[in-house]
Amino acid sequence: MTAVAHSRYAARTCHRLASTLVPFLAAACTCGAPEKPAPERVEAPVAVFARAAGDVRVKHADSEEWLAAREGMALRAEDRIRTVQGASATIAFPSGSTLEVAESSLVTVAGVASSGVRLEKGAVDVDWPRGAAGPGGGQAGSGPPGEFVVETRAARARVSREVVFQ
Amino acid sequence: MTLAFLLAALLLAGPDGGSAAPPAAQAADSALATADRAIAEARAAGASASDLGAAAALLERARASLREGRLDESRRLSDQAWEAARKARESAAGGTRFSVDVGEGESTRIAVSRGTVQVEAGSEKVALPAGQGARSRPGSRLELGPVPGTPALLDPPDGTVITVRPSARPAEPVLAWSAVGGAVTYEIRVTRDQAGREVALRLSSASARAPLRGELPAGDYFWRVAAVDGRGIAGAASSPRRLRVADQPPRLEVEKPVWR
Repeated sequence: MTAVAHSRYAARTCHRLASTLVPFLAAACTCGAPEKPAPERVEAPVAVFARAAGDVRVKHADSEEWLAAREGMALRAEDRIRTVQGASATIAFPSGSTLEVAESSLVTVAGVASSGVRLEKGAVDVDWPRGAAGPGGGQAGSGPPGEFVVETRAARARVSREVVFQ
Repeated sequence: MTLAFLLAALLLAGPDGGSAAPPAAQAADSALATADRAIAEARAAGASASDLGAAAALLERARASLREGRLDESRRLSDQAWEAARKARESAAGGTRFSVDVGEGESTRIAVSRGTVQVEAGSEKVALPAGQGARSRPGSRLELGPVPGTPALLDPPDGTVITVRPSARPAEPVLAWSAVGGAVTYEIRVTRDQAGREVALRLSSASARAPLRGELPAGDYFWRVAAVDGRGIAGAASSPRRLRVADQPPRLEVEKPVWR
């Protein structure tokens, strides 16, 4: 087995572990991989479904399929979440922050660089607890610590430790 | 961190309402368990001893009522304990809480209930404190102002048994609450769970009352009301009240008189 093939095998193994066991173990796996992982699915999850009630669907960034959401399912950058009428979901971030997605909503988990979610339709509630460290928990490569952003086409709402009155 | 996160995810699973109609004893048991769990969550979140004590005292009274067979009273006390625990947890959490929704014409509405949120729209940048809201519409300046207050629920009393039909009918149940200044409409949510997440029916009313019409299968529900202002910004919803929907209107049972 060549070095490249070996490193790809390691990356694939990490992905399987991340998908089937504890999602946030993936962060540790990818940190140890000798090669920069190419497929998006190897990225560390940035959030997880804590609750899904009714018809809640997820489209992972590397797929065209809308899957039924289930508790414990990992979410990564650019994954999309859709709720129909009467459905709702709670998404938990490792920092302790939670995002409640209301019925009839469409949300995209933002990229690591912008740390938060994009709200295309519907409504969300954000609970940012005292001392929250950001969507990625402030870990290296998991987004800016101490910030959470909800972005729409018309506005951007940001909560961070350094909000200052103007 | 991972362990703490998983624990948080488990705790966030929330109370389980269920859509079936459980017998009264089962409903009282379930309410007790839900309140018990809420108190444990509040304790884990670092709620103060006095707040926890108030919730625990209510729960103890609920247990006593259940032991003595006063099921409705037990359920009511359990609901009060749940609400006290929720408030204790909120108060312990501190931090920031805000909501964002995208309305018609791609307008965005932001309401802050705790902490401060930085809002950016075009070149504008504003720090919104708790109790304030903003609306952003394409091509317009940010519209800022206070978030509407919270209505107090008036009727029907907690735990009332009703029947619901899709269309108007005589003596249909009417929900009523206190009017809120600045409110243009009120949003009424009937949910299957106490936390208000699993919406079974959504109503809207321009006044402080609304006939309860719709498709609601028999079972236990919770209802709450939020005031909405002219910008479409909703204030915090009221505390929930329990409602039991029966298939048939509750009948007055009259025992056969015994003549002596």
